[in-house]
Amino acid sequence: MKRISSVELVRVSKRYGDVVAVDNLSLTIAEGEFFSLLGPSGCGKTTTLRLIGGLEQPDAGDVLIDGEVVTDLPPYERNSNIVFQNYALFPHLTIENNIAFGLRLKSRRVAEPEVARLVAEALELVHLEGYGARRPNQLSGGQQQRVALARALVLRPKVLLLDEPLGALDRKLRKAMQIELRRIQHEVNITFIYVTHDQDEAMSMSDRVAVMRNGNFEQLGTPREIFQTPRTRFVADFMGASNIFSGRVVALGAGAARGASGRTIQIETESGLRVISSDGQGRSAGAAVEFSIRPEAVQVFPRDRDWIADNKFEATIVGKLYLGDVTELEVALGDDNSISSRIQSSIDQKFGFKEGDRVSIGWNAEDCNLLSSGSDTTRC
Amino acid sequence: MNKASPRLLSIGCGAVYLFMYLPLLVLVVYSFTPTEYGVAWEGFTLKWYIAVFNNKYIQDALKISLMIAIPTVIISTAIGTITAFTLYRYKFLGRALYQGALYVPLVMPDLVIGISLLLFYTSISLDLGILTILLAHISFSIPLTTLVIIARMQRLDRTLEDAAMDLGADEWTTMWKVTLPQLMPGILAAALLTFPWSFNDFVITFFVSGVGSSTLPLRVYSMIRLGVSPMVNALGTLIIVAPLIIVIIGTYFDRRSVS
Ligand SMILES: Nc1ncnc2c1ncn2[C@@H]1O[C@H](COP(=O)(O)OP(=O)(O)OP(=O)(O)O)[C@@H](O)[C@H]1O
Ligand SMILES: [Mg+2]
Repeated sequence: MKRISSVELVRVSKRYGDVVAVDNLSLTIAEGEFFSLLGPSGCGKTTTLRLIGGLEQPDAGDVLIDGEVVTDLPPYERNSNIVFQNYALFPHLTIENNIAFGLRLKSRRVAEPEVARLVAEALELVHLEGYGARRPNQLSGGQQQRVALARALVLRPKVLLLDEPLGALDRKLRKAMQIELRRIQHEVNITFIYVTHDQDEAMSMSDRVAVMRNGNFEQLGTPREIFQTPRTRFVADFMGASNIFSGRVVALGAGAARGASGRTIQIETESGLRVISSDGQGRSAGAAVEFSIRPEAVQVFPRDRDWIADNKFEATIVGKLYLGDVTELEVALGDDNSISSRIQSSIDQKFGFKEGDRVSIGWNAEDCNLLSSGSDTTRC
Repeated sequence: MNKASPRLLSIGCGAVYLFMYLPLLVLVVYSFTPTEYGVAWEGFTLKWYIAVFNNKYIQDALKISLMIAIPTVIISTAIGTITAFTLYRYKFLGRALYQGALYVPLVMPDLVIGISLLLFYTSISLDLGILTILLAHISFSIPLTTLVIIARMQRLDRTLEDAAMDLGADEWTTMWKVTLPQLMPGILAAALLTFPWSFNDFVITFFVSGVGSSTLPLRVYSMIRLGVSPMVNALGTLIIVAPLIIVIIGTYFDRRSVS
């Protein structure tokens, strides 16, 4: 199936005075794709959306929507809509009139009965039936956010740009809206470009995710790729793979990992741990490497228990944090190393782990994800 | 702070207000006093008010005052809106200078403005009269309206305009449907503040008025020169009350625009 590109950025840059908000960014998004931008505050997510929507002009580069260059078109001539981070509802208009704003413009010429029908439908979509006559300041933050969503969706744009659209919602409503958004997206085949700082949200909803840093992409890929095989220290850290070690390759194909695919290597960390990884493709003996391990890949058992892992060590629990369904354990490996592990709280309860316990910890070779070496970060 | 201090403060506050309003109160009380040159209260009467309403000179002066104040309000609010919009929205050479220059007429003595306008109008051979008063009033009202509207503009959320354009409205539609409605409380406040600003002006009007173009303040002044009649008190009371109502409405709108 050949898909046309819906949004394309070609080496786009945008600076505000000395700040480079977007730095030589290139990107191709397919029609109907759900694309997420993930990244820390100030990395240029909002600016990227505004460039696509036409609210900012790039200093260099081109923006294409549906294969056509729109770089010089004003926002009102682009087939995209933004759900703003701060909602940007018109305070002088009722909710109904806010949603109807775009429909009633002369350029669209939607007949009044049709406007009423679409507005009612949009209100229903965001579960705000009966709120139409209120003013924005009479709604809660979450409700306002849903109105902003309805106002943009009602126009059925080719591209919907969402700037943290669910940030103000509680967990339950957010889950419901996530499912709803996915459903809408499938139904009307709109391309979604979705800014969020909630990695779970990005993982569960997106076809592809880009992790942004300093105005460019640090890594771009499917949620699984980003989550399981972060390519840089920054991405690994951002995705919560907080166990990051540096070391040197001491043997190739060594230690024959249990059922591991890929190419195994043995690494000695700076602090002297010997670790087997199956992610050794393209690495040579003696090379300096960095690798990350997700906390949930690190298993913890009492010392007397018999179990198998490619990498197994004796350790001491030095910290414990209860997080609800999971519990985070901080364990020390010798003097210089500490590693965090996330285990099911039920398992923690079963073994009754407490600080100071001597335990046995371990992880498999495929959980040892190698990061790209030095400064050469993966650019997309 | 101890418990007594809010009470002390409120008493102090009361004293200050008394200081401000007592003279006005005296004027109002005397306007209901029957005797011509009475200093003591000698009963209640409305005869001075009736006299005011029957006085043709006062009526003519009121008519002239309104003929000046109303167009002043309309024209200077319109110009103020456009000026504010330009100064706030567009960056151009000398913008800061223009904006700073708005404060100058507000702090300049009326006497100086009056004399300079008189000089200017006579030097271009403009006959002094209603037109010159109107021009003068518009010129000293524009800084006021512009500053009030700029203050409102600074509270405006620019992303609302972004949102409008994003939803498909061009610049013009965005201005009509989003910017102006947001600005409306400021525009109304400007208009309502300008009215008494123009209506009450004495010094500048004094310089630029000609024969037969006496506004109400000028008329009152000439009446007083012939001796204080309680009729002036009655007129004064009326003049206090009317703009006061307008100012109260004006601040109400301005307040509402903040929230
Ligand atoms: N109008 C502006 N003027 C000056 N600098 C700006 C402007 N807008 C954004 N910036 C700067 O550009 C950079 C990127 O900003 P942007 O709003 O795109 O970040 P973001 O990724 O959306 O952050 P957040 O997650 O906090 O919303 C920041 O350093 C910001 O300070
Ligand atoms: Mg942002």
